[in-house]
Formats: sequence, structure tokens, C-alpha cells
Amino acid sequence: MAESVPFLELRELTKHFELPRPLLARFVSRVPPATVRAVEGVSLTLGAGETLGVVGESGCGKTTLGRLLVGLEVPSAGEIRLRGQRLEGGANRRPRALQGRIQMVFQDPYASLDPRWKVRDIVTEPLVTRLSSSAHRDRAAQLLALVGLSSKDLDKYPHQFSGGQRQRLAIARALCAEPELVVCDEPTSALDVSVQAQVLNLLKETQRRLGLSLVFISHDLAVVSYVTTSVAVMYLGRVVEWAPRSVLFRAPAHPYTRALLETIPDVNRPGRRRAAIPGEVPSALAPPPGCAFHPRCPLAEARCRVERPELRDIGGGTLVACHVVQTRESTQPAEEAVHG
Amino acid sequence: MRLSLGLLEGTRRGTHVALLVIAAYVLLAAFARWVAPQPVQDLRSLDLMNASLPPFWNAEGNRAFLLGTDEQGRDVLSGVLFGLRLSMGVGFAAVALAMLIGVTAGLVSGYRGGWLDAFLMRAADAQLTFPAILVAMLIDGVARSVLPRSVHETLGVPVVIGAIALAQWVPFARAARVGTLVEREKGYVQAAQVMARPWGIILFGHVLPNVLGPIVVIATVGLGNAILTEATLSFLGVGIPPTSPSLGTLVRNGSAYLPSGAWWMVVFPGLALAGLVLAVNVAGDGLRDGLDPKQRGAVS
Amino acid sequence: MSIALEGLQVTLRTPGADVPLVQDVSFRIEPGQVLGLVGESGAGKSLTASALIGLVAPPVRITAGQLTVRARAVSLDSPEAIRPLRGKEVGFVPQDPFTSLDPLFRVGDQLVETLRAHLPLDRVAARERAVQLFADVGLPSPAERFSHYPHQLSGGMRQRVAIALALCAQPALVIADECTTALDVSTQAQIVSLLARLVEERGTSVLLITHDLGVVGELATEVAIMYAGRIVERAPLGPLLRAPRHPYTRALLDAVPRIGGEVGGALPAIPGTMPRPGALPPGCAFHPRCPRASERCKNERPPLERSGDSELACWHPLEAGASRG
Repeated sequence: MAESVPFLELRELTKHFELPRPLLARFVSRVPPATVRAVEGVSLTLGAGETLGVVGESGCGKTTLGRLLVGLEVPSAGEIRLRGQRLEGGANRRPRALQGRIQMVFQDPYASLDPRWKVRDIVTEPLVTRLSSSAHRDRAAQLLALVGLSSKDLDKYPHQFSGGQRQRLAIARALCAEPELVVCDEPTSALDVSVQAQVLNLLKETQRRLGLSLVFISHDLAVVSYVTTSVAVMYLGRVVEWAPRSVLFRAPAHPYTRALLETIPDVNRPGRRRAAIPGEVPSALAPPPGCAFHPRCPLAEARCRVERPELRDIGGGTLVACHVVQTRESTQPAEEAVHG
Repeated sequence: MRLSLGLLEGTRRGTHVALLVIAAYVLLAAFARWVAPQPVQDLRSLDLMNASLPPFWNAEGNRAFLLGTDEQGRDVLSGVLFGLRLSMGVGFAAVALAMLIGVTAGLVSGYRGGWLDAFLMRAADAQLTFPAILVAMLIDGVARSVLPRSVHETLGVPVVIGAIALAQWVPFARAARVGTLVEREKGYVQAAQVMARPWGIILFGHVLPNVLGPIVVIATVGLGNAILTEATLSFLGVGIPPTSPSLGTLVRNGSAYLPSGAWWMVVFPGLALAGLVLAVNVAGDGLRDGLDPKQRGAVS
Repeated sequence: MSIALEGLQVTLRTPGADVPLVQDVSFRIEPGQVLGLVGESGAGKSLTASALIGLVAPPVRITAGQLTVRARAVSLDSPEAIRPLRGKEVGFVPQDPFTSLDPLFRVGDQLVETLRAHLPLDRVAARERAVQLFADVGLPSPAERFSHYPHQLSGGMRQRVAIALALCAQPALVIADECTTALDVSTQAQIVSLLARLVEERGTSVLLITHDLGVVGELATEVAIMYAGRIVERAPLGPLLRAPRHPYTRALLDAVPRIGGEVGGALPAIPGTMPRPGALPPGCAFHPRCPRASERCKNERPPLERSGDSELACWHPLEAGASRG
């Protein structure tokens, strides 16, 4: 890693949610409240102009991580640093002046645009200083052009657009205030395959043109493999593997990552049955002791049931949190078949 | 405006008729001064010789007084027109005030949550345990005893408006709160939060326009209630001071003369009131239906 | 006994005009075979499923279509004819496991209720059968789970219950409408295995409705691609995935991101969007987006033609046997 300050740095980022309790129980009961450890001790970095993929299944904390990044949630502990500057202020809240430097593209294209606002107002909403109305229009037209829509669309309402076009509008809006980092939370999950391809291409193209950095959150490993430079895999709030994109998909280290890659169906190899991961994701309220994945892990040993593994560098740029997989040599390259 | 077009689509003919009726009432009330044959507030225009005349189609009736006169020679038709103005004015104002209080409370409550939400909603629940009439009577009674008579006379109308509004704000608050809870989770609100827009702008610029639909419907129904409540209060004698009679006051006055056979003093104000409230309720129902099927009509 | 659908037509009746939503959809599914009905949103695949179980409500109407199940031919344009089939001959597994079960009743009771509605069983026998069904669909601790409420079960478990409900009266056809879409990848894999096993064991025909080509690749024996309300290509799984003949099918397959694909290049995306019902272009509905479109395509709609065990509606299909490589 370069000696200079990383563009984005997460240090032991943590978010706990306390489950609400009836008023009386709060004062009377000695038992501490149930806590959901949504994000636990996440430390990651990202270089400028790169894309970090965050993958995992539901309940792994990736959405919460995204919300922490944009300031929609206040961290319980840990820091987010942008170009070395800490974003948390008093009580861990993000000061208003720093809010808006990281923008977001949301998952649901049908709920992320105000149905009663015109497109030209929606895409220019992030502007902090109010411009004259013609300057506003010009800026809006510029943004629309950036995402492949025409200035004829300026006075339309969201319901006049398709899902894919709405995501383009959402991207235009996110880019309006020229943020340095954009978090995309499952931006194509609600879109059809052909539309998804258009939007992914747009994201890559825009990133290249504007020198943007992206954090791309998704449950779809194939999509992630397409747009990212490095990938972090999350399970029950923790990062279990973090590696450059090509390394992760060619030679995944953590047993969970390997199992996930096995479960992806490959359109090019019809009829192949996926090897399913046994059991289900445990509840975030009662994570298993030791390594959270041990009940479902084919490699689990006695130590895994007791001691939680730390993220360790095993060479090749990969960090893995696993007692069993210690070195790069012990990872067998996954079957050829998965990687075509 | 997109909102009104959205509401009118898909409504039945009955709703259109009801809306026309309301429009007619509004026009008549607004132009009462020019339409009414007799300026009934002006005591000098009254002539006791014309007292208690039946409607004009009756043998003893007089063409000048189409619907008859009351015991002081006041033209019933004119009285009804001016009374309408007051009844509708108080009704609209009360609903507008209730909407202002209720929607603001509901928006803030739903958006901020926590203690504020709990407090406001319990206040709302407490409010609902009191019947509207009793609340209005309570406030009016307190006002009467606390304020000197002359002040009470001038403030009479605002006090009644305030009393009715206080009795009616809760449904607005609840509808606004529920809508806010839903919209709050949506991307466009969260995007605005990410942009660090002040919460006031988010609430009134983003959330409010999107929760207005059901609120407009509640307002229409609430209007009918407000008008009736005012009439009831006036009928009970605790409403607007009798110097400017509303329809309720007219009914109250006229009912005293009913046993003597002077039915027109009660019936016409009563009919006017009933017609207005009926039209308002039908329009409210129609608008509510206009909202629903439009959303359900989408093809999956 | 095979399942056959003939000439399904679903229309939206509006005061202005009739808008066709699904046109001339026909297929045949043999016992133990899975037909994957694939299409993007707006293509009409979910509507086809709704039509087959009689969940189409005015102003949308079924204007034509005949379904043959267990040698009985039923005309789909009369709602009364379809209702008796529901559950008994045609089972349905819905998409959303979180809203498809009644939250107020225990899952066991819901299954028992369905069983007794279709089969002559007393309460005790029905309960036994229900527990057995829960075990068949891989629900852990079936006897205990019997008394659980839906909210006590995870998404994957609820979907297993939904499958049990669909299969309990031993229907000849099961329609699975995007039933894995709302699940995590690992849970999806489990449900897909379950469905494959059940189909093999029971010889049921399955109509698998999905937009996910990966799931199709694992479960289906045959695939039909829908576009703008019509079937444009139908073929056995292998040939369709390896060498699709319709340009849309090919473009769709190319647009799916694959692990191991190039990072640098752009994903081959199909320009434009699918036309909405009522706004179909003349001729072939796909022509504005098709790289092979000719004058003929703009004016004349290609009919769905059969050749061997496939069907195709295209004037300029891709070469037979040209592999996607």
C-alpha cells in the first residue's frame, strides 16, 4: 500500500442497534438490552478512482455500512476518514459542512425520486448555493446529458420514466454536487438484465470520465466482479475476506467466499447444480460464538467454535479472517468451472 | 395542479354534482350581500308589520319575502344566505386551522419519532376521548367566563373556530404521521438527508406533498363535521354570539315558533344546512374513492 | 399426462381501446419437465401465470385460451371454469415469502386447511400428512414447526412451506412465479435443489416463471422467451443457452454479467427498452432494438414457427448451431 494517506479509510467502524424496550423494563431490568451488531469493527481502505465492492447476503451489514458512509447512520464506534480527514464530529455525528461529500444511489428506482418534483429540480437538489433559474436549468441539462438523457426530459415527472431511466436520474442527482465518493446500494438489483447492463456501463463510464471513487454494495457477485477493483465480503457484520477483485474471484480464500462463489449459477453451464451452503444465516441478535460462520463451515475446527479470527494478511493482497486458511498456499484455486 | 387532477380522475358523476352544489353554495354565500333581498343585519330595514309571514306561495305570503319572515320581520331567505356565509366561513376556517395544527403535528411526530412522537400521539389520544361538542363547549364556556363581555363578543367567532379546530385536529395528525412514517423510509427522503437539506425543507418540500392525498379527503369530511358542530353549538346557545346569526342560530330561534305553526323559520335554514353537509360528505366520499381504484387499476 | 396451453390471450379493457397484454401464448409441458418462461418486466410472463390460476381481475380479462390438464380441457375465459382447478390441478408458489402466508395462523394449520379443502381427510390424517409434507420439503424439525407462525420462520423456510402448500393436493402442474427472487443466493440454491428433487420424485410439470437466467439454467428442461406479450423463441435448455437463434435471446444472454468476464470492456447492453403494451411498434416488436432488423421486420410481424422441438418468431434468426462461445 502507498505510504500516502488513503482516499477513503474505515477504522474499526461499528454500528450497534439497541432493540427498543418498554419504558419500565428499561429502568427495572438488569439484563442489558438486546443489541443487533449490524457492523462490527470494519476496517477497509480505498484508493482514489477505484471501486470497492461490498458483498454479502441479507443481514450481513452491507446496507448499514453504506448508510454509515453517507451519514444516514451515526457510528457507535470507529471512524471514517476521507483523504485523512475524520468525518465524525461531536457525538460521532457528521458536521453539516462535511455532509454531502459522499453521495448515494439507492436501490429502489421507484422510491428514490420524489414523485411530485420535476426532474430538473430533482437532479439539482444537491446544489448548496441557489442558482438563478436559467443556471439551474443549464446545470440540470448538463447532468442529464452526462447520464444519457435529453434536455427534453427536464420538465417531466419521475413516473414518466422507466426503472432504468430513473436510476440514471438518481445517478445524475448523486453527481450534481461533484462528490468524491458515491455509494451505490444495490443500484441494479431492481432492474431487468438488459437495463442493468446499461446502468452498469454508465457507472463505469462516468467513473472513468470524472475520476470518481465508488463503493458498490451488492448481493450479486457476478455484477460485483464486473465493476469493482477490490472486494470485501461481509458475514454477520464483519469483513471475512478482502482482496483485489481478480484475486478474490480467481482464488477465494475464506470458506464462505468459496461457498458463495459455488452457489452462483452459471448461465454458460446449464444443468449444473449449485452446491448449497447448509443451514441458514444466523440471527444478528445471537451470533454464534467464535467464528460466526463455523456452524456452516466445512473446514471448522475446535478453535473456530471458541475464538473469533482476526483479519490477517495472507499474501497476494488478500486479508482473510479465518483460523484454518492461514497462507495463500493452503487455498486451492477454486474449480475452473466457476470462472469460465 | 397534478394533485387535483389526480383526485378528480375516476370519480363518479355524483361527486361532480356534489362539487357543483358546493360551488353554488360558496358563490351564494360569497355574494350574499348582493343576492339577498334584505340586508337583515341592518335593523333599520326591518318592519314589524312584516313579522311572521309565511312563504310566498302561501295565501298570506308576500312576494318580497320568498321564504317568509321571522318574528322580527327578517326575511328568512336573506337570513339563510347570510347565515350560510357564517356557517361556511366558520366551517372552512375551523378545518383549515385543524389541518394546520394536525398536519404539522403529524409530520413532525412521524419524522422525528422518539419522545416528541410519543407525547404528541398521547395528546391526540387524550383529545379523542372528549366528544367534539363537549370540547367546544368547554372552551367556549371558559372563554365566556374569563373574557369580559365586549371582548367575548368580538372574539366570539375566532373562539368558536378555535374550539372546533381543537376538536378536529387529531385525524389530520394521524394521517400525516402515518404517511410520514412511510415516506421517511423512501429513497428520495433519504437522498435529501444525505444532501444535508434542513429537516424543515425535507418535511414540507418532500414529505408533505406526498402525504396530502388522504388529508384532503379528511378535510372534506371534516368540513361537514365542522359546519354541523358550529350549528349544534349555535343551536345550544354556546356558539357564535347571536348578533350575527349562523344557520344553527336561525334554527334555534325558529324552533321556538314551531309549535305556533311557523314552520318556515326552522325548515329552510335546516334544509340549507342539510344540503350543504350532504354535498360536502358526498364529495368527500367521491374524492376518497377517486384516490383508491386509480392505484389499484395498474396492470401487474 | 402432459399439460397443454393453447392460444392464451389476455387483454386490458379500457373505455378507449382494448390493449392486448399477452397474445397467442401456447406451450406443452410433459410430466417431470420444467418449462422456464423467461422475460423482462412487462413481457407478460407473470400475467400468464395469473391467468392460469384465475387471478386475473377486471379491467384485465382473459379473452381466449384453453388449458388441458389431466385430459380435461378448460376454457380460460370463464373464471368459474378455472376455480376448481386451483390447488387441485394447478398449484402456485408465489414470489414473496414474506406476504404469501397468513400471519395470523400457524403454518401447520394453514397446510391442514388447504389439504382438507382438496382431499377427503379427517383432521388427524390431515395433520399427519402435513407433517410429512413439511419433512418432504426439507423443513427442519417438521413436527415442531407445525405450530409456528410465519414470522417465526426465515424466508427460506417460508418458501418451503409455500411449496408444501402448492404440492399438497398433488397437482399436475405447479407454477413457480419468481419464487426464488426474494431469497439470498445460498437459500436460493437450497430451494432450487428442493424443487429439482420434488419434480423428479413426483413427476409434476412445472412452469417456472423468472427473469433470472441462472435459475433457468439449473432447473428448466425447456425454455420459452417472452417479449412484449408473445413467445419469441422456445427450445430445449441446452441448445437455447448455447446457441440461441432469436437476436433478443442472444442479447439477453450476453447482457448477463459473468464472473471472469473482462473488467475493461462494456457489458453488451441492449439499447432502448421493451415497448409497453398498447405502444407496440409495427412489424416485429423487437425491431427497433435489433441489430439485424430489415425493412421486412419493420412492417411484418414474424409468426411463431415450429421446427423440430423448437419454435422461433424471427425473419433473420442467428445461424443454427452458431455457438456463443
